[in-house]
Amino acid sequence: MSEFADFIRVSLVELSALFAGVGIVAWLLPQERRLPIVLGGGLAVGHALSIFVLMALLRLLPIGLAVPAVFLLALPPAAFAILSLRRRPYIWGVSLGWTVLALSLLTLISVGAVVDLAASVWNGSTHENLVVRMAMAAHAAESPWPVMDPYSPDHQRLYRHAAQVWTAALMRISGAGLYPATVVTVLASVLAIAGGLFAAVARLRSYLAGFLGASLFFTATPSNFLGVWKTPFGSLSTSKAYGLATVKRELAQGYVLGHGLALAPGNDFTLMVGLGAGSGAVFLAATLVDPTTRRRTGIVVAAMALAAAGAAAEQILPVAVATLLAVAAVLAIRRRWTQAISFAALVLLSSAFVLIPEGTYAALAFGSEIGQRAGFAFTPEYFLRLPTEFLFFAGSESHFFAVPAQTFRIWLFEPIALKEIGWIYVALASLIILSRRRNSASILAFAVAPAIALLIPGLVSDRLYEINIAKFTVLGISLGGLAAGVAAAELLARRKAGLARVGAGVLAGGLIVFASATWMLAVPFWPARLSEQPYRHLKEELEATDYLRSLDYGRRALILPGPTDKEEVNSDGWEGMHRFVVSFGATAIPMGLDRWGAAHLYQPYYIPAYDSLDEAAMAQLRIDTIYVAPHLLTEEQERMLESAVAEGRAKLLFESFAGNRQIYEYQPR
Amino acid sequence: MNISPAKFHTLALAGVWILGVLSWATAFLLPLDWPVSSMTDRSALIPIGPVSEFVVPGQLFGTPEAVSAIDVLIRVGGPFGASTPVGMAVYEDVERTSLVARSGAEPVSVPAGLAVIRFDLDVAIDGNRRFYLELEIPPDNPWPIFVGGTRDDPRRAGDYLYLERRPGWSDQDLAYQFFRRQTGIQRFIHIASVRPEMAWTIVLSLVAVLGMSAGLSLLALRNYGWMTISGAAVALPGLALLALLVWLLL
Repeated sequence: MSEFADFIRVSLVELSALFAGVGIVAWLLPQERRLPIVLGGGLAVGHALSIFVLMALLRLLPIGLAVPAVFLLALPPAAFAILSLRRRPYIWGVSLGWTVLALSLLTLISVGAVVDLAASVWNGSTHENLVVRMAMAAHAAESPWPVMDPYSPDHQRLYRHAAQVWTAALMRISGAGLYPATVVTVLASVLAIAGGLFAAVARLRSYLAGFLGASLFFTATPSNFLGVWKTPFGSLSTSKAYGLATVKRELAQGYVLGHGLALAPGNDFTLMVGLGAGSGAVFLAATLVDPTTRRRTGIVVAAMALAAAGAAAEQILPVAVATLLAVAAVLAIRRRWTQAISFAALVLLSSAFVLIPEGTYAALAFGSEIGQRAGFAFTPEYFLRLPTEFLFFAGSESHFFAVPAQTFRIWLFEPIALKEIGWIYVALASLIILSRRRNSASILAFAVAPAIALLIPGLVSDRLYEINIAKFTVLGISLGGLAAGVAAAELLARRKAGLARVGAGVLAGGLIVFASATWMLAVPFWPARLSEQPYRHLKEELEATDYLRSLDYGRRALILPGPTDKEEVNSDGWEGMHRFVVSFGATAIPMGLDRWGAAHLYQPYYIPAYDSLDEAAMAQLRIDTIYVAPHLLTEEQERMLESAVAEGRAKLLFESFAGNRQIYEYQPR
Repeated sequence: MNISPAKFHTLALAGVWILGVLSWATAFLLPLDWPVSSMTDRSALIPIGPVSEFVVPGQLFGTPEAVSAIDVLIRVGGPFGASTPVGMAVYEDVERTSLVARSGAEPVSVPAGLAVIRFDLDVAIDGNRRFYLELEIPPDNPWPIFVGGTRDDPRRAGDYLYLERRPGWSDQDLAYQFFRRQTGIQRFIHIASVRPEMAWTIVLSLVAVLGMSAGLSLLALRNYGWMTISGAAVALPGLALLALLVWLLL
């Protein structure tokens, strides 16, 4: 019941921030009377501005003041939104059928996002990515700013911070726990993406284009539905249900290292938050071509929204900036100077604003004394190539869609790439042809964005983790869905008679099917994603981590037994204790997870501390807590702990109700 | 034959409602084999054998819930198409003091080698208990027989492979998969009682899909009455659900 109350409280707090955006949009677009556009765009703008303002205030104020200041600042525009909705003659203008269809689909997408997140948190279908993000949020809810890396507590993790800090802000202001705050952050992002993209495309093209574009943005994945007849992928049963259930997560993955948004909430919810903010920027950019808008303020607000997107997920900014510059160039060629200058100014301002929040871009520009910087490199030798992963389709054989063996990168037009994301190329080609035939540059922008996202991995590499570059592929697939939706709507909207009508209908239907069928097929397997129960003593784990959170913030724990390096952190070993200690327990584990987290400085001490409770190593790491699963200890570890207790170095502070978790206070002699 | 528009509307209305009710009723009431979680994803598959009436393959196992069928992997040697009857007996324990259920099947030699063989038990066995199963190879079987096993699977401690009724390596097991024959509604009630979050996901997804169907029906049938529209809204997901269940579970 208390968690339900948490959900209500944190939802109301989030809604107040979102609703402030509706007020800002109502003020920026005084002539706009279409309620779906004001509401949709407003939700995205509210999401983006709240995050940007919070990150900017954190440069000036302590976090304890910055968080309430953001929500206080949101009150006047939220009040203006209510006044405007009462006084202005807004019209809904969408039929009941479309309204019910769109809201139901949004509900289904929201359910899918929460299931993906929940499966990762409670059912062990994640690796360390989500755990680190949630841990950062939990620590930011307790610690002074800037928050330190939970696995390297003397260092900052200098990459995307904004989503985690926003989740922490929701926890601080509502008093909610980590899980409700994360769920609401993801749901708000879904609303912002749907609303912002719908409103932007609808303003530029039509409601149908807005609906299809936003829908397919969410549902776009590699075309794995083409391979389902090959189940059961070497499994132990002839049951299709069993075969598919064993690949329930991989169903939405592809051979190319990109899976669309279907798996983003449970892997890296920061991308969802960034895209929500980016959708606000896209919506505001779409209003810049309208002379009735308050353009100068709109440019500044759009730049803030884009900066928030870049701060939440750094992959979004280069794609957005390149697309905006392309639009500006086209407008300049057409001698529409005012609009071209508006877009160029938006690019310049957002490039400056993105340096304000702490994170990847600020660290790249200014460096850092206490954190690791990203290791991006210019690698044109990979031009027109995507990073790969041996995922779903690699589990079966295909003579036509050949899977290159042990390939690090594949060519964009290799058969397997054509099978996985060929529908994106068809969508882009359709948009280019439609743009030329209808002499409409606004159609072309929807083709440019996914093309850029898919081309960037061919030019840039991340020397630390290739998966950071693969997120451009994730973005490219989602933007490909947007492109497919816009193309389908355009094809359906102005069909000619006869064969052309049939052809346009078939092409539009094909694009919709290819962009959404894998996602749709995955829907029946959502319950199966919640079936695994890898954490045998979850109730005791949460009881113990609650206790940890009740202690003064800043504790550093040794997990006994537990992982000692990144590979072990990613494993399901030790009942996943470390995952809950760093996140729900808001306690640091000073092992140095990876190269982002200065592992080389922590590993030489954590390993002797783990192996023998070495006093010098424990003191060096300032470990003050030992988190123990007594039933998992080896005899040697039991002896080691007993001797530490006998020597007065370890004192039992807490034992869970069934005795499967213990917390010791460690004191050096 | 001329049908008046009013009669056509009535027929359409009756048709969609009959279709809707029938599809949902069948989806909920059709008994199907639901896979019950048993094997881990990471098991390496190995052939064990040759097994025979003397080298009897057996397995001690636990059931997460009641089980009515068990799949095991069997390879029949000899020319492709050759077959031999194989029995399965499920006992209370490895001492075989009490027979719980019995089944039989006739695996065939196929090019792929190991083939999945379904053993429908004559009596469903209880859940949350340990049992011992044995495969019974007839004495007059002329072909070499292998069974599928798994290896390197530390999470299944306690489940033991037996050969010649003696325990084998602790990290090896027979490859098996459990099934439980239930109607959709029985399955849902079971899930709701043990895993409410899964039940909530099912309910919310179905509500959202029904909403989408209602939206599509409103758009496609806007010239028809509310009864026809609501009938179509119910029938569309019902048919889709039924098709899905038949494809996945039959």
